[in-house]
Amino acid sequence: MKRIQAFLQNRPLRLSRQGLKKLLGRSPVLLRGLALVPVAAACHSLRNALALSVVMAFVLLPTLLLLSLIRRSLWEPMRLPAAALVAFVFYIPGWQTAKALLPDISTRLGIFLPLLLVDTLLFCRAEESAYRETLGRTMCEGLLDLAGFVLVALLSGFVRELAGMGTLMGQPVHLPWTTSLAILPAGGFILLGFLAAGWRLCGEGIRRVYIRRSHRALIKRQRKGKEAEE
Amino acid sequence: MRIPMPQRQTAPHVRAEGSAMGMQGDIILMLFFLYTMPTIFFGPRVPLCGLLSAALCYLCDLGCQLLRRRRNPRDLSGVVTGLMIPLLLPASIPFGVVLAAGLFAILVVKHPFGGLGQNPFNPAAGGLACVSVTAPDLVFRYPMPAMPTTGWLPLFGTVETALASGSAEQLQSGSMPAYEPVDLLRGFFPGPVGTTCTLLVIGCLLYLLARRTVTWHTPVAFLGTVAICAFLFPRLASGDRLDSMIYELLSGAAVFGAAILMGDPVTTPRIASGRLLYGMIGGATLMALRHFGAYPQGMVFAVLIANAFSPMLDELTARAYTRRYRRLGQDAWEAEERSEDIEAAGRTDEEVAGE
Repeated sequence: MKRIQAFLQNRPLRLSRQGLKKLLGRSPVLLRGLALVPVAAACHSLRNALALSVVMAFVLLPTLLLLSLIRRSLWEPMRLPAAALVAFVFYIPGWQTAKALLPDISTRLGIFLPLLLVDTLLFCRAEESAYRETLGRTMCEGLLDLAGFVLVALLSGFVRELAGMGTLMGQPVHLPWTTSLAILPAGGFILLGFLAAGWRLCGEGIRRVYIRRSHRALIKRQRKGKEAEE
Repeated sequence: MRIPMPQRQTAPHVRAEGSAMGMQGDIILMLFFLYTMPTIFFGPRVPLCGLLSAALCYLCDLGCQLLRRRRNPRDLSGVVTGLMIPLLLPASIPFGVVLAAGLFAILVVKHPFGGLGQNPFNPAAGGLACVSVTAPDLVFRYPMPAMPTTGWLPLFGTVETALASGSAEQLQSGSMPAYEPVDLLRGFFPGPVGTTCTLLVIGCLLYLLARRTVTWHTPVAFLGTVAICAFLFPRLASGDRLDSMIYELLSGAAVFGAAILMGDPVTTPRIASGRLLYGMIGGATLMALRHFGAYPQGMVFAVLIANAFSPMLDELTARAYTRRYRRLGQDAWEAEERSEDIEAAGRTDEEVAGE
């Protein structure tokens, strides 16, 4: 009973803290350069970003689950094709869902939706987690990476739609000026570059604060130890 | 105080001791010189534009240097960038576009890569490419030059005189430009402000060559390639090869680009053979863009593409250098030292073994 209580008290906290650390410290798009193409080229409006996120969720999570279950029976050279093929199965319901949200999805996103099937984010997760680690851990990593992708996609969609067209979700917002550079893929890459720089800067700052805090705690502990000795 | 040259890529062949200040001073002088004809043609709007742009770029550069804690107020590269930008734009351009190009050049093209001496792309060309892509209707329509008697452009506000397409655009459609070669030489046709008066640009090029701010390799290779391409593949519907050569060389920003943009000492390769190759790549790209590109003026894009080749050319030519010294066997110790220098500049042991 005590154990269960302790689990309930500690576990979620520890998990969330770790998750937060990972989420902040390891953005798949900004720090590792995974799934750059859909974000840079296609996320120029919030709706596109939402549709891409929905399809990505449908493609990534069930694929990782299935791959993690069947990994023992897979012939090693067939790992990557298997990942793409399994993802293809889940792409269809994902596409239908995104279409229900956004009727003109195929004209808006074109090739970038099916390109998610051979995305580096999916392959990287499959190779690093699904074929190597336990099911729970794989899903956890997949969720974190998905969250990182969705965050960056929505941020990019928000900024680029606002700066490029002066609208948000199709609603006009009054702005003094807009620039068509934001809609072009070049603008997407520039924005991603600056976002990545900002992300690293923040990460560095947070790490410094952590180090300082742990250093102080260490000094305090040493002092206490000395006082106790005396 | 003399500011030393940017230290990153000093190849072993550089013997003359140059200072960034002197080079920048030369180029700024030439850019001021280039502003004279447009001022006569279009009135004080053009120099005002240049001064505003230069001031903004310099301040922006200084701000970035402060942010990166490398303050160097005597570094005038921001002024060079700022003065270059309006010269490749029409005189009727709104001030906002010029300032946007300057901001983009300094904040996106120059400082994220490490500032002066480290930027792989020419900042002015980057800023101009940005505004050409975002506002092509403003950038590629030019006012007809007017003498003071017929009226200058208004100093502030929007320009309401009729805008015409330049002779580059007429060439693009395959028709013979409606201007005599003499007019093209003295700049009496609609086009980018600083590039139309070819005689003035050639004068600047000669001065820069005499001062050794620009070596002859890049401009000669560049203009030679443009001339050969124009001779072999004329765009004129009449198919006259000599006319094609003359108009291709004079109507676009080719001479200006060869003198000022391609000669930028930061982004050109360090070794002479590399510079020749660099000029050829730039010229071939420019002609390809003129034949197959969407925009009438492809100069800035050609410069950016050639810039991307520059580090690779540096490495290739440096390797050829070391190989030659080893084969000649002359002064083995010295040659060894040179190759060590080059290895320190970014060559790994596998590459040496691969040779």
